[in-house]
Amino acid sequence: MEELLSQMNSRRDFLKKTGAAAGLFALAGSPLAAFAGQETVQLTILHTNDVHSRIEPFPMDGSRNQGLGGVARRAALIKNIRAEQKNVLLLDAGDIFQGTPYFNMFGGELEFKLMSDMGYDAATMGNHDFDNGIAGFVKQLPHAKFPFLVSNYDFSNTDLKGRTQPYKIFKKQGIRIGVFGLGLELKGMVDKKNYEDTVYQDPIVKGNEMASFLKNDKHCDMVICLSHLGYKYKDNKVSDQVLAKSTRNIDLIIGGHTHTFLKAPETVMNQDGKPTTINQVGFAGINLGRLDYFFDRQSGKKKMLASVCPIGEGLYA
Amino acid sequence: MVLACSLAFVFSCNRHYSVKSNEYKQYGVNQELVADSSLIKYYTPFKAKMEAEMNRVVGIASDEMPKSNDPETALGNFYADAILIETQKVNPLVEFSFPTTKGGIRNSIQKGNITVSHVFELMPFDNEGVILKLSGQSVQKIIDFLASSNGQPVSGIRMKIANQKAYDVTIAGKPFDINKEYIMVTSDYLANNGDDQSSLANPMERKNVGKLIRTMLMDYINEQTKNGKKITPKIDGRIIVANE
Repeated sequence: MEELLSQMNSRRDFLKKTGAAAGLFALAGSPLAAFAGQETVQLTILHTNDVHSRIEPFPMDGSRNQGLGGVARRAALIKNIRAEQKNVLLLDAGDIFQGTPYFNMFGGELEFKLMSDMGYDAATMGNHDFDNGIAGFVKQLPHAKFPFLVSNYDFSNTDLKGRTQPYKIFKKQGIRIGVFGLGLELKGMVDKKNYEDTVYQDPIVKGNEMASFLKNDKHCDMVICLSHLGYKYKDNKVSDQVLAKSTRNIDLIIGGHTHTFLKAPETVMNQDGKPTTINQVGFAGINLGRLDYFFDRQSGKKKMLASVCPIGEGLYA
Repeated sequence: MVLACSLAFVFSCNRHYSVKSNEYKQYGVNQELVADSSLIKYYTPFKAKMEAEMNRVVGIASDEMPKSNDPETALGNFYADAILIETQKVNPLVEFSFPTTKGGIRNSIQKGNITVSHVFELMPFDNEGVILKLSGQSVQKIIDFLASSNGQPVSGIRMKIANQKAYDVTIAGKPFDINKEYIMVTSDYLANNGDDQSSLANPMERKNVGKLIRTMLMDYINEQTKNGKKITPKIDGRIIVANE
């Protein structure tokens, strides 16, 4: 509980690129910056994971999470952020289904409708999203006005064929953001009758393929993986940590499955020695994660020095 | 800096953005936030319908079945019997059930109407029934655990316990034989080593019942009700702890 409360409004810069702040501010403020075509674009990524049909806040029954969560509050919060920010991406890392009688009663209809209402841009599939079988998921899909991004499940021999997408590219003020999804091994986790002939493919191989495709072929400025692999395991089972270390070109992994309450995103060096950021915000919609990226327009490989800009300080206003 | 930027401008025929900086903020979704009333309005009819369903009466308990730590409890017997009977409809060869530990039974059943909500409170977890074929040695481990933990909810298995050791053990009415293989039903939670049930860890065969434990409980109660029967607490001496 204390931990949860302390997470509120905690602001942290998670990419430690220090020492250049002064120079950058000077540049941004100078008329020469404008001459040089300098342009900063802010992208706001909001995310949830493992909401597990938690429509209403947890009941006030003395339990650990009493009074927390609830879609109506989340919706209001998102609305406020959208009013302030031009470029918002709202994403979910799976396990939308299962956990309250709303799911048992309505099979996920309400979850999808409310997420559509909040303007979710994309989600990936968690193991519990198979709980009513492929047919149960397909039945609810018309209620979802956002795509499901799944790159490492081959649904060719199921009714989900063509109903999900491997990736989607979002364009925000000229920035290209490639988003793809990775799911965990279904065998042993989900009943075979529920995933039928879905073929699970190695998330590291697929992740590398997708990320390289998005960054190099599709020229995305940023690549995001929606992952339901889980944050970390004791053994060497594939997790977000393993994925980050073993791949290239993924900038951000928005994770789920392990219901991990990270206080701040974690940065792991990838195969190229570049930072891959991992985040996960618990479960049940108790928290909403927000990552703000500030992009500079530039050419070729020339890198701008970086600094941290607090939200709301109008660098480019 | 200025020079670098000018160069950037010169060669920027290809628009390209890179991350200059980033930051993170996490919002706790809690009582301090205002709720969007339009969403509440939207889900209210769903809530009403759900509550009506949760309040639907599925059966009647002729008497109270309290949650307790006794070696044998009416609540545990009801639970384990229901799971055994429902599983035997899928596989008649199943000889006994050990579907939950005492701790897995989350609430008592009160005398009178049993609603859908009561069944959810009894078993809130979405665990599935799992049928295991076990060696006699593995079953011996279960028996040892039942004896050392002062009894657990079981059906089809009977025993006496003294000094935390089991004796006079029968399974499906026959004396336990360590050289025989047994088919039993449990939950995926226990089968996956939940509550440290290492006895269930290495089955010779494993198959899902295809139903949630809660669904099986519900089906059992529904059937009793359909046949005009109440749920009646029963202690039949399946686990007897001898006075020391």
